[in-house]
Amino acid sequence: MTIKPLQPHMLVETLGVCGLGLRPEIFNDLIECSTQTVNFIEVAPENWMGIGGWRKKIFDSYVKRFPLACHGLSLSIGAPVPLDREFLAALKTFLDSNQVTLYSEHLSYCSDTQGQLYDLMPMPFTEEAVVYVAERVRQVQETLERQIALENISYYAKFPAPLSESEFINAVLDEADCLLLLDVNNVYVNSVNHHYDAKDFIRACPTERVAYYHVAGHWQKTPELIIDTHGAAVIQPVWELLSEAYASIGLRPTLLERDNDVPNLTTLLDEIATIRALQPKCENV
Amino acid sequence: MLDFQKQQEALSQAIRRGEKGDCPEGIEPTRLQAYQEGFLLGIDEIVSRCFPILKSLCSQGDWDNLVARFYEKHPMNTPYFHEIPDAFLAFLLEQETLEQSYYSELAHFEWMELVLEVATEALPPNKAQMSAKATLNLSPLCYVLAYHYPVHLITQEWQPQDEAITYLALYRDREDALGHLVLNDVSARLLHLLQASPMAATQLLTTLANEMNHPCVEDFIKQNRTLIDKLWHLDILLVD
Repeated sequence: MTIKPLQPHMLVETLGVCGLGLRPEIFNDLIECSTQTVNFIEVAPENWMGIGGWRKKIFDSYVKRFPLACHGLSLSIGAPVPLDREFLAALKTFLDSNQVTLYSEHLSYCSDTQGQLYDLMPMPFTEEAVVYVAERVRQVQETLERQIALENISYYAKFPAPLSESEFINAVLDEADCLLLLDVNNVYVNSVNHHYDAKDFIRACPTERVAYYHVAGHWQKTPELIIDTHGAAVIQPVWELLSEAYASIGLRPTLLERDNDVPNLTTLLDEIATIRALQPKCENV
Repeated sequence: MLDFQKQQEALSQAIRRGEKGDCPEGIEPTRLQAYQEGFLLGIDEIVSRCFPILKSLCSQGDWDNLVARFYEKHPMNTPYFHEIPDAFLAFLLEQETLEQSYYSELAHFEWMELVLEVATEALPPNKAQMSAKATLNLSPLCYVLAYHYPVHLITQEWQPQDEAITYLALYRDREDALGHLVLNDVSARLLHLLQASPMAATQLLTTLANEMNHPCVEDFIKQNRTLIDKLWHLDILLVD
């Protein structure tokens, strides 16, 4: 089986540079929005696979209008249990039938021997885990017949382990030959939660493997702990990190994530305008 | 199990067990608590969305306990978020100590509404005209349900005191709107007959009249033509 490689710089041409997550709160308004303003949309395939009725009609109307990026939730690439083969087969059909150029997931686990937890837990940053996850990523890429991107997740607890987060992620990307979805909000969240330098983390990312950016707001629960809620506006230090990523890595499709306390579309478009203003100029867009 | 997998399993189990969970070695207790609270909140939101009336009948404390026990104990394997309520219903049906006997039936009805809302079957776009000879089918988007209680009437303000056998047709029309119709013995039996095999209106009503030993089949047919029309109008019956 062949794995179709994904050229990060080509993604700007297929998706555009600014995207928004498709949420029920904006179903009615976003469909009217110009694709010059919101170039693409992103959905979690697990929320739309095997769905009929009014949701399916809405989904089809969006897919007809906007290029689609898929960002998965349930793959559980790092879990101590076998990959869900039936799900992977259904996912391939879904990605193919909706002409999805980019499928990304989280470098994490969300299930164990009891089953799913439906939320993301961090990997122990060990060499053994690098080898294990990379082999599973290769299996997924072979089944889906495409290169995938993995996201640096936000995490609150850290296992005692020999590698740094950055070393772990970069080793997995290299060993699995897959791409990175760089979530700059997560870099900020983790840099506060685990006391590291966010800019150093970004500068250590392998430029040629960075496919896509996420940017979002969060909740500062205590001075020491930030929870990644996607429920607030993006804060200034995160905008600065996004600028840093554009400068040191380059322009990539950039998605604004907003999943909780979703404001009206106009407010979200203000944030989209901020993304666009920070982006280096690109001739093709 | 590899060493790092033992670490993973210790964390995920501690998250599931909530306040009772031992904090795994090397993990800060306040950070474990952040996971426990966040994960449970996420599941609670999904379950609450599907079972709003059941939730409104429970005290906040009882509901929180129920969801926490579900999250801790019940194995869930579906990758699809809209199937999490299936698992919650299965969990409820296993409970021997529900506060009221109608809770599980109410939960089933609320769950069926979600199942129907997202069902992938679609009705033919054009509605065929009704005639006496046309073959009638039960819509694939109509479920004929039987309960011991009038689950469709339950609210925070009104709850049943006694059992009352209730037949309901839960349906989705061409505009994807959900509706339910309370059935009597005749309409319930009529839909059951059609579920078993499609047939023309006259044949259907004749079969039904004979089954019920009705003194005059012709009168029975005349009386029930409006019922057939109504069911067709609602997209419960489809014409071939």
